[in-house]
Amino acid sequence: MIDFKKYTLENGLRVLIHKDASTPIVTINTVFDVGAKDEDESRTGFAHLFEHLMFGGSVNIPEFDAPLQNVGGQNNAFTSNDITNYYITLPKQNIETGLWLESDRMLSLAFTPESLEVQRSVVIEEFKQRYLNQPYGDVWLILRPLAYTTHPYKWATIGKELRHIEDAKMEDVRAFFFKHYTPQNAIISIAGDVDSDEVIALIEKWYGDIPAGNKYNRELPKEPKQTEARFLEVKRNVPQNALYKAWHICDRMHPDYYAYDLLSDILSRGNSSRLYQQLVKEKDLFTEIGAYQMGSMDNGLFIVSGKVKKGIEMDEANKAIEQCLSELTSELVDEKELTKVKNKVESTDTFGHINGLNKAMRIGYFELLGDANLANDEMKHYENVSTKDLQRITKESLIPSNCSTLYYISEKKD
Amino acid sequence: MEVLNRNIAPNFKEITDIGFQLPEQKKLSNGIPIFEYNLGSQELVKIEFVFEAGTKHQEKPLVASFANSMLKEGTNTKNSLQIANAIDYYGAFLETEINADFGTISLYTLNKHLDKVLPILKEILCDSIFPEKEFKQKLSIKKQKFIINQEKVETLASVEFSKLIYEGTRYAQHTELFSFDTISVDDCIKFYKKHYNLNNATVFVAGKIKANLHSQLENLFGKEDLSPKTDDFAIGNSTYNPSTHSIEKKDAIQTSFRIGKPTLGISHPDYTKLKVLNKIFGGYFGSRLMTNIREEKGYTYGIGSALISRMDASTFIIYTEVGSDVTQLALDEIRKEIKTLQQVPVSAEELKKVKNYMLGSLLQNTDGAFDMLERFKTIHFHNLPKNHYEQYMKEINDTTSDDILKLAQTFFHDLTIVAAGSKKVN
Repeated sequence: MIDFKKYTLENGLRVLIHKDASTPIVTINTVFDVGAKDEDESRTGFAHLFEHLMFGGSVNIPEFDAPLQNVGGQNNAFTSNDITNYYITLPKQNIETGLWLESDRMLSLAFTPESLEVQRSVVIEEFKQRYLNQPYGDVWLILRPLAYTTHPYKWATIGKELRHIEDAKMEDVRAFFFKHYTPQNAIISIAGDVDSDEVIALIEKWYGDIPAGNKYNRELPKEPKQTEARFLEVKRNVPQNALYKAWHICDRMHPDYYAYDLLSDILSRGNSSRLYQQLVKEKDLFTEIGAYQMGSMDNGLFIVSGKVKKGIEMDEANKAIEQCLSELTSELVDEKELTKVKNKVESTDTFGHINGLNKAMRIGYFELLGDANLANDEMKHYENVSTKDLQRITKESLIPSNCSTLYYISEKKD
Repeated sequence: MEVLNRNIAPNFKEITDIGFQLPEQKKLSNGIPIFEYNLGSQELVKIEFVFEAGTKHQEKPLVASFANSMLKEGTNTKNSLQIANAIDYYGAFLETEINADFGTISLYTLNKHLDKVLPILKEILCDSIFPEKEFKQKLSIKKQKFIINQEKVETLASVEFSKLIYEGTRYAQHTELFSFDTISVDDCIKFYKKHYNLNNATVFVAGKIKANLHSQLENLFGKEDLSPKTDDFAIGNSTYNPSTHSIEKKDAIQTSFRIGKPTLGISHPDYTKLKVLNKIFGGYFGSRLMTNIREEKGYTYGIGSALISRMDASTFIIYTEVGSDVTQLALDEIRKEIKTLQQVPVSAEELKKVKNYMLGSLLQNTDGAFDMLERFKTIHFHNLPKNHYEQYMKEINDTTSDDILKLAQTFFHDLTIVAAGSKKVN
């Protein structure tokens, strides 16, 4: 249970405050309702590039990091296809420094050409380091456009190609900021040993005069229903074949979300899970294998991926995965097996309550989904999933006509 | 209404106290030492058994890590699936970990399931049998992972760096492809019997500790007879010689650098000053290396430096991956930053910022039972005084700009440079 108080400023900024007296550290988490899905298809990678620019100085404060480091604070940020999330952790007595810095960059950035030039090169190096210069690093650049034909989830957060980053212009940066980085598009959540009235007063002080901006209304193209199995094979200079399968599933707020999540746990969480036991240990077909759902806000993907053992045919490996899934449709999962994955969710949730940053991010994210209280209802939803639900969703969704399969083939000479 | 002046930073308070606590120290009746942090509001606990069973203790590569990871693969009464089920069913986590000095097995569980899962931990530690089939399978899986990792420039650079920096000592051991053909189950069993012996265990507990936890530990572990510990370990003498190496990886679009040298250990009186110097140079996001090479030049996604304190050796290391086309330029800039620290005193403002940042990090790293436990392990295993962190804070505060200048002048010599990628360096 994460207790919190909610407060909304006149400019639309929402504030959530969670008191935890056991820690000397305060977290200030700011989530903006903008992600890679809000990008123009001809200018992808922008939300993430923009996240970098948020550290390049704001309208009144030339440097973001140094004043924070000076009061013993740390910060970081991440961008996904759905959101952009910034966080600061610092000694509780210095909370105002964090609010001062965060509020100024919500007010406006400095938009210096140097900052754009440098962050452009940094992001290009990030693109290389994480996606191009790593074995299997480009898989999401291939799999996303295979699974999505229409919805902007078809490109990765880093962007479709380096060129889009190389071509980014200052006017694009400005426009992006004033469109998305408005108070009504943001949620601040604070966790720590704080007095909520004092925090609210400080937030009024630093954020109260930031103009509300225009409301951004998201209208994303819907992904049409997939009706035919898709298949792609690529050859890469990697030592081992890999297999990726992606099925379309529901969105984050759909009641079945929890069933898909537990289903992925049944398949691959822990050494007792089905895919590991059957395909790695018993049949010796894969050297590693995993299943998960992407957790995206709009209709998401259910993924099974693995590295295929040397000497095993790809088709055989693929069939074995399908066989494992078809067992889930022909026979109900054992109650005990379902209890097992529910117990795991419960303990993960409990361990997640130790950390202030984790709690602040969690309530902020659920507020963005519609209501921070949902963060505290999740366990109940997991609890309600039945073995019949698991069978039903497997039958409905984890079927060939709804699946994209990628053979990632090693063409290394050894 | 008062007009807000956003150009001026709000007042702040310096960190004077981190609230670090020492754990409660106990012993089981056979002498196994236990350190407990009973803190936190969540009904959960972590129990960690640490053994002197690191890679430095092995006679050949891979043995220590296989002895560690095979712990979950079978006992006299349970096969690997039964062990996994017994742990997973109760939502617990059993994690094995290995580093150069220690082998660790940790159990994370909700308090309500502790009595169900703790006996599994006992069985694993006292009764593992290392089944041949599981071993063979794991060997082939790890071999595949090893081959994949060899494709990464950062793996190539860091393995070569370790070889060079620890030359002459047991820390220089490294895995090659053929190592996978030379290790046997018997090697692992021998290692397990000697090193995962309760006479070699230190136990750490953190979380909301229930009154009956101690008796549970006592019943399971306290009644075992402990054989006397044999200590025949010697780390060996360093034959370190600085050198520069380029490892060719055709077509790599980034070059991975590992640059550094052996350095003074954590108990040395100048160690804290060296930490301050390292912070300024490459130890945080606002460091000289990061500011220049990422934030001004855009040569990299990340660059940093660190001090690594192992039990029997300490290392200074600079690490980064840079665009292939700027390989030599990046190295020149690293050298330039070293020279600057040796010639120009660090400003009072920068030094203050670094000190405050270090104190803030310490505060963040002692937040709660789990973090304090990690900090205490440093005190315990390195045999540091109980007031180590108070002393450390004082030494940070006492460090002067002159200290940093002098230290930079004596410290930054004899560096070994390893670069892996498609470009050579000089």
